[in-house]
Amino acid sequence: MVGRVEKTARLIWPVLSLALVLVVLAALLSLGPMPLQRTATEAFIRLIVVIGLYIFIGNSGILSFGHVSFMAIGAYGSALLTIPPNMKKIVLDLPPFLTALQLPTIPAALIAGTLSTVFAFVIGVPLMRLSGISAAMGTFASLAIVYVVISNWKEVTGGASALIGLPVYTDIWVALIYALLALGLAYAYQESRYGRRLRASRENEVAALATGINVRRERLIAFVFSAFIVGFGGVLHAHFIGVLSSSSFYLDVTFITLAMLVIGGMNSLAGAVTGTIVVSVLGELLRLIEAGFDIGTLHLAAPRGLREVGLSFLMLMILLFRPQGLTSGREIAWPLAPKAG
Amino acid sequence: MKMMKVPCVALGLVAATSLGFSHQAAADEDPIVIGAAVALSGFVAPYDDGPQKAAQLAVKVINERGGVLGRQIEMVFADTKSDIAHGANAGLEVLDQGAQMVLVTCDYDFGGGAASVANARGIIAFSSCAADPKFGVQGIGPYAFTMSIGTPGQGALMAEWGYNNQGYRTAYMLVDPTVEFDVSLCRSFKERWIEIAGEDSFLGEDTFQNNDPSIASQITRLKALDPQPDAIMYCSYPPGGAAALKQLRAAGVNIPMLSGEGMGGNYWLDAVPNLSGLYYAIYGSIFGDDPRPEINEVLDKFIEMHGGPPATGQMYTGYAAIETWAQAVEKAGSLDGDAVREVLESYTDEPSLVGATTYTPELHMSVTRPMTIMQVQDGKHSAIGVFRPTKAASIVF
Repeated sequence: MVGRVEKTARLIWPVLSLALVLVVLAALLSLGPMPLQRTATEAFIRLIVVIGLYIFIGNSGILSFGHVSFMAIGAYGSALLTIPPNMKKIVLDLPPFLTALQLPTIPAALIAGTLSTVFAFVIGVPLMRLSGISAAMGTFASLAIVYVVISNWKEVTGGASALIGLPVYTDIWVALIYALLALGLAYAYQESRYGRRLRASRENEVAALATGINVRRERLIAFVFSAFIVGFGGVLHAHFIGVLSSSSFYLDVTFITLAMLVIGGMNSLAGAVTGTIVVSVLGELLRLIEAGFDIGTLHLAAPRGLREVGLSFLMLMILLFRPQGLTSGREIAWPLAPKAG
Repeated sequence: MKMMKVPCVALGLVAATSLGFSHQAAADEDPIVIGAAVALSGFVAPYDDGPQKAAQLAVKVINERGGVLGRQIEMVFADTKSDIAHGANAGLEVLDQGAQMVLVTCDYDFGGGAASVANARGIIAFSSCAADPKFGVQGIGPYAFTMSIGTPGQGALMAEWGYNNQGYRTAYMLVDPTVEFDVSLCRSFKERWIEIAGEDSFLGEDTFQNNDPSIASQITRLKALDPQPDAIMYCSYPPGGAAALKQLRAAGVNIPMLSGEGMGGNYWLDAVPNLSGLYYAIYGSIFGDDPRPEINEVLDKFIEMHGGPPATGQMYTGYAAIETWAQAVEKAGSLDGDAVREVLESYTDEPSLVGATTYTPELHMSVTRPMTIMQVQDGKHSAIGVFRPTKAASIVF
């Protein structure tokens, strides 16, 4: 009996401990002033995206530069379904039924997430035939295509100008709840037979093929599943500030989310969470130093751009001295008993 | 699965986070806070530089008079970094500091984000000079106002002035559709020009993007026109607008160019040495030669306060926005967004520094105020005079 309880505890501890850390963090940060809460909310949204990235990159070992395109599709999808019709009429030029459509936020989010998933399936079928650097370049190309289409499809996305009028509902608690859901889903996938088969192919593709694993199919499953999570991250991002612009779904976010995953350690869920927290906190601290502070009458401020330099430096150090990331690809172990034999 | 012993990292970070941030709590309620969520860096900064500094001047003048509702005004700033999405963040930043009115960037695309977050909280947002008709009830919401003269007025003014005062009989159009302002400016010009001069006198139009490195093909098409147009309506803005202008002049196209406020200012003129034949409409001259004394008076005060003239003539709208808002607050007797909005919406030909202002519940911008028409000859700006369109082009959102 005790053995069974402990077995279950051991199984869920790696994800439960991460969830606890997130809940404690959110509870503490929600007591802070509004700017801090917003920084925290943004970090939780980033976390969802990083967890989505981890589902694919961590389990398959294939780098993807294209996941931010799912974020963009989720964000714009939800925007089209939730902006009030009289506003859509002014700024966009949509088919009448779409102009008149205004859904509650949750169904809109689900549809938008599904839209990302469908898109991921369509591009995933050919892309998952590739591996290594060609897969990475293929996903990057898909990001570039989505970005250019969104920047120029004036009738539907408002083009390069701002899309305004989205209902704002993402606060720290909403972001936390979705982050916890993403965490649970990612862990469930990782422990399922699908996740294990994909990780087997990550360690040794030939051996995995030889044992009868359909590597392409497993990769596609992870790709499509991760697109749903990342798409949801995009939806929450859209409803966080209520303004969309195509430029916020391109290289900057791609770089920062990948940096989070790499710094934390891309082979474990603990790595995804740790990386997001470390990079967010460091980024915020550097931003504060950039803004400067007063000592008596002396105002000290670092040069602008310190944040980007600092993060890039950290990433370089990690790659040089701890290539597996801060967590070295490990999950958090059950603390009470000695290591399971 | 490999296991890691203790995740001290995360717990340490919790402590670091709670220690690291000690933002000041909301200040005491005494002064009224105006938040300027404007571009302090990036390519939009020259347009915001004047308006936000002029807003500071207006605040100083009002405070010396005794403030608004007996309270002093204080300004806080947040940088949009000339980034559309970051604009909303900048808006939230100043709202967090207790802003009860938000002054936003001089453009619908770049100022809309900050205005929309203020609007969502029922707080009045004033753009200094966003001139696209979308800036207002339809494109942002009921609490968004702009001090600009809308593009239907600016475009019509250049068409009327070109036809009546300059005697141009044929026109061509070059549009840079990167921002909504230029699209609607040229649309308005075309509509009014065809009304006055007839369909045949409009020789055609072409587009280029602000970041196009070369507009050689547009120039070739323009030079192939026979006969050549008397004037070109040129809807763009620096830096791309200046680069394209240089290419036109270098290619021997010396046709007079008409433009709106987008081409105002001196800061880009080095890019087109000895430019001649550019005419543009703006809120007031920044070279001390405006025909309206009240404009020059504000310019003098501005130079005295900031040690030099503003970058562009959009400056005056920043002053007027604060002035107009402060008057409305006095009339409403309260800072409440709805009360102030109702007063503003009742304004018909209410005097302001940049001309008589009319707002209605449907339209939160003025369209037929007078503007100063400036010319650039031999690399020098000078004011030609103050003109007012007899009829605005239709308002298209």
